Amino acid sequence: MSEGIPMRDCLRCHHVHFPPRPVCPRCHGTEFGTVHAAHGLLEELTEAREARIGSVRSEAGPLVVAALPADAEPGTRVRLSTGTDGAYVPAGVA
Amino acid sequence: MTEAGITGSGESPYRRHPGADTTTESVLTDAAARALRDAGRGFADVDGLAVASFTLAPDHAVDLAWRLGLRLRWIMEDTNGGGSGINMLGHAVRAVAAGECRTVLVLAGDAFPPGRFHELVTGYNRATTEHLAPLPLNGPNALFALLTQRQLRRHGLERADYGAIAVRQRSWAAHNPGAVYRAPLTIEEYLAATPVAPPLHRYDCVPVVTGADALLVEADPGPGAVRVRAMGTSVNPDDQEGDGLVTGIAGIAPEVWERAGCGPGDLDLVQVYDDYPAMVLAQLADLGLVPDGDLRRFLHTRWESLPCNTSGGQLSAGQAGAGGGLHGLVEAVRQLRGQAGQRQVEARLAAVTGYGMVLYRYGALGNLAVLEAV
Ligand SMILES: [Zn+2]
Repeated sequence: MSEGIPMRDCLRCHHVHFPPRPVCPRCHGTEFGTVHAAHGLLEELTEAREARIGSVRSEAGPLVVAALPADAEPGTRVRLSTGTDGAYVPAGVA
Repeated sequence: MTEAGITGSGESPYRRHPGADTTTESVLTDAAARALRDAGRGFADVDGLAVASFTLAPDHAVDLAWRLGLRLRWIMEDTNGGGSGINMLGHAVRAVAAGECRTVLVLAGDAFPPGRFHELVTGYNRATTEHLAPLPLNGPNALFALLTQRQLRRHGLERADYGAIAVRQRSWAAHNPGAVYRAPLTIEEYLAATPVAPPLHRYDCVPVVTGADALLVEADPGPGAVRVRAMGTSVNPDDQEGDGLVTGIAGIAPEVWERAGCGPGDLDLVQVYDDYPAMVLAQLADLGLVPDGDLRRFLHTRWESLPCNTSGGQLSAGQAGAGGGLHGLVEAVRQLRGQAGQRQVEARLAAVTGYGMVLYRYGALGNLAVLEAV
């Protein structure tokens, strides 16, 4: 069970970005805190052969690509998860 | 400065299911030989080499130089996929202009035996292996399905509007013996096609092929050569934080037109990078060919008479991996040199775009070259 998706929060300008990169895309700062995005708005959804894939505007800001559970509908709020309890976003190495 | 021009082009025939003896090296060699023959040159004349390929590994450009028996004074390898063709052409033209070399082979292509394409798209970059492939996601179709939905909604388009692109490009492909899909496509067939990732269906996605493309760039070219008037490149214009509906080409087009001394209205021919119909529309708009921004009206007026993607594009001719970045240039050069057979159009000035390198959500690289027959 996850507490949302870990994202990098720039200590200088507070721009949050995902996937995590070594330099803030807005101010080029290199020091970050971590915010956890637990929910987001499902903006678009498609049914690919391998999974239901959607773009989710996370509450922390970044648009993430997620695998959606069967009941998720575009235009609705979804829970973001690094596991199976919601819209799955592989968080990688934060 | 030495004058540089494109004096030859070639394409190793695209194949959906090549034989086991067809390799990345064999298709690159074949394309090179064709471009040299077209220019009336041989391997012994070449003193510069540029190559882009996803599947040449573990070999690199230098291995290819040895295996082709080339004696070089200039070499480069490009990893920019759909942007590699224009990028390499630019480097080659500047190297020749600077006097570093006189005869440059520009090569791009790939061979995809079973399983190799899957391996490429699931291991494309770190963002893919860490954040996309585990979803699971096997390649860019679903990402461009999401992008196409955004474009549909933003511009009030319907699937049939994209069908106009697929159908028109297929009608060009009928006259291209090198295209893998040449049979006429009706709008009914387009609409009834198998879903891939809605709204994308079969004819919205490029057929993956094995093949390669080649250009020859020479110093002091004679009559019949093609000159690069101007070009420009945009990399990572928005940190993947936008909607992907505008490519980096929009940002560079105005200055490229200024350097070229012409505008989008002067073009006789356009080859845009067509990995998906939505990207055809996006790039045509970015070039300035849809001044009022009404994509739907454009499709039902100007599109039908615009010589665009006259090889059939990658949607009908096929996408030969990195060869896709050179495909539009090869077609433009053939058209400008009067070598396009039954699909020949009257053309002196052409624009070619490159697009690609999906980092996380859409392509991060766009480029534009303006070519002219001299
Ligand atoms: Zn910052």
